[in-house]
Amino acid sequence: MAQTIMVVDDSNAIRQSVSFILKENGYETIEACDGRDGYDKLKDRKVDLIITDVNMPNMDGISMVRELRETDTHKFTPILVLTTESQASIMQDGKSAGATGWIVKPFSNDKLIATIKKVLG
Amino acid sequence: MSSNSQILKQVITDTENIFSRIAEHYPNLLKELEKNIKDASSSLDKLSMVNPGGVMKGAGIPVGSYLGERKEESKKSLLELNAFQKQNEVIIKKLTSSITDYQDSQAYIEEIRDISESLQIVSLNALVNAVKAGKGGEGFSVITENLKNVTGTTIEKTSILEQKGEVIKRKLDVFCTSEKAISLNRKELLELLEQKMMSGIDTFQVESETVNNLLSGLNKESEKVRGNILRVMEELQQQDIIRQTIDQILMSMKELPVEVEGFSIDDFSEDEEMDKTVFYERLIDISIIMIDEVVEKLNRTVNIFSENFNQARQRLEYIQGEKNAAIEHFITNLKSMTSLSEMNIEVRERSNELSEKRRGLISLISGILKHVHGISEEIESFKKISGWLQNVAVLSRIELTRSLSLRQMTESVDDMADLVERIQEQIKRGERETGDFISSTGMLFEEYEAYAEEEQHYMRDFFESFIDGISEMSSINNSFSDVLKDFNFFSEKFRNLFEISSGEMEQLKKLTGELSHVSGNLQTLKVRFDETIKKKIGEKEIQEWNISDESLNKIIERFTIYSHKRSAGEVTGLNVEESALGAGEVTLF
Repeated sequence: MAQTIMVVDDSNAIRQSVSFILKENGYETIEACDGRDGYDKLKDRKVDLIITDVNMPNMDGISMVRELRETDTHKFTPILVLTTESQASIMQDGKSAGATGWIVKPFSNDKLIATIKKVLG
Repeated sequence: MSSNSQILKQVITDTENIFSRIAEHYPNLLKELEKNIKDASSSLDKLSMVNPGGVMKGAGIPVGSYLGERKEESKKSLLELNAFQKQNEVIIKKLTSSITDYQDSQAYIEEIRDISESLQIVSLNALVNAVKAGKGGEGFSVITENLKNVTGTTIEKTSILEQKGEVIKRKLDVFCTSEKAISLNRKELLELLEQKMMSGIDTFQVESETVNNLLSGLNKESEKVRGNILRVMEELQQQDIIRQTIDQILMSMKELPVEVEGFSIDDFSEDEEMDKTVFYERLIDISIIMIDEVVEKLNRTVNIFSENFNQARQRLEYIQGEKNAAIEHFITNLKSMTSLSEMNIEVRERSNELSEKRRGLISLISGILKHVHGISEEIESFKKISGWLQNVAVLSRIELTRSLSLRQMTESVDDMADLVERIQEQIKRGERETGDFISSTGMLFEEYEAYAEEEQHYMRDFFESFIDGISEMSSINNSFSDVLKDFNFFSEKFRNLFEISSGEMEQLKKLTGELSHVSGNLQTLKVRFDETIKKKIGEKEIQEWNISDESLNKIIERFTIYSHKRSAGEVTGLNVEESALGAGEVTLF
């Protein structure tokens, strides 16, 4: 059975682009347009991996990670942050919030897939 | 006229829309392409396999094997036809030799005539002596008179026999000459068949393989279009960077006292704080840097998109061209099939003509055999004459014993008896040789007739199978053409989607123009701020002004793209340095 990945990004183009690459590589995807939307969609369902942007309206990605880690469902779900934020201090915030990894945009499709495979074991 | 911030907001909206549309279109394009490649691959499989006569279940057999088999079958048939030809040549050779033998054997007729002429002279002498013998020779006179008549008849019959022999010889000559001509024609036809048929099959095979290779190449080429689409999808990430950069510019510009558009430097009073003036100048400077970066990014993205569109378009055109070339190859094949078909009709007609001529020869054979039997009948009549001559010889001896006056004729009667015996021998010889000739020619003719019939059947079967072969190859070619018609990597839908995306590039290019316009406005303003600052620095008699206001630092702190933060630090002289990750860098915690 295909693994499911949640893609959280306020940019429709990025969401579509990332989902497309994931689907091309055999994953199923669900999408959310910001941290709040992502949290709402995830609180009652399990996924194999979450990919989230940082700077989004309503709720940013780091806050979403923090809140998801508070839930039993997603205490250990791998979460990759996919962002333009490259500052080490912000990345540290993400790590403290409970993110599994940090990928700086723009990324290559191959690198993204390789990282996902590594994270999913 | 729109304000600078309105333009920038519009750029965000427009890029978001354009990138979103591409993001929505391209997966469809790719799906469409993948479906087409799958269909094309299945068409390719169909092209490489044939199902002769539609009787086989499953995928059928490879075209190459099928054509190879057809070629082998044709070669085998042609070899068998050649064997028929050789068999025929043997029959004709035997027949020719039989005719020569028969002609040689005709010497007995000459002998019979010569002996009959001698017998005639002897009988004439005997008649004279019989007359001289008077009454005692009367009976003998009757016998010799009759003998004279019979030998006359014998001589006449030899002429008839000779004439009949001549007729047979002539007819056999005609037969042999005609048969040789037929054989030669048949041989030419077979050679023509061999040459055309083999080259037809070869052409079909070569053309089919060429088309297959060509289309396989196209399959690979269309796979490359997939690469172009994936590259465009990857580039869509730039939208996020562009949006955040413009957000940062808007955030900076919001700090300016009024909208830059229409803003007048004169709004600053002389006693306006120097710190604020420099702060605004630096903000404008940072914004210009970021706008230029967005323009550069947009241009880069447009270039990457365009490059991939163009490559994909060139590939589409190339594929279309190659497909047309493949169609040309099928047309060549079709022509080759048509030419084979026409050749088949021509060869079949000529072959039928030859068979018709051969049937004529068989009628000729019947005529010849009738004549040969006529000779046999003549020989039979000779046998009667021979019996009669025997009787004459016996009667002559009786007469000789009855009349003393005929004693001097003993020698003539002996001569007569001797000549009669010799005629009888020659008649027997004629009977034997004619019998041999009848028997050998009869057998050869029977053989020839059987051969001609068998060959005719074989030719008929051969042409039928040839027609079947051509119609099978034509049907394969037609099904190939049908497959080729459906062999389409890029549907109309694909092309339309592709063209829409191509149109989006023009809009992106337009946006770079708008951004450059904003950058130009800011440049103008920067110059005016620079002049004011220079003037104020001059008035204060200092070298430079260091900003002490923390508000600029706070703005820079809010920048989400670290490279901009660093650039801003360089422009403002503020320390924003800290460790940062590079683009595309992955950190797992």
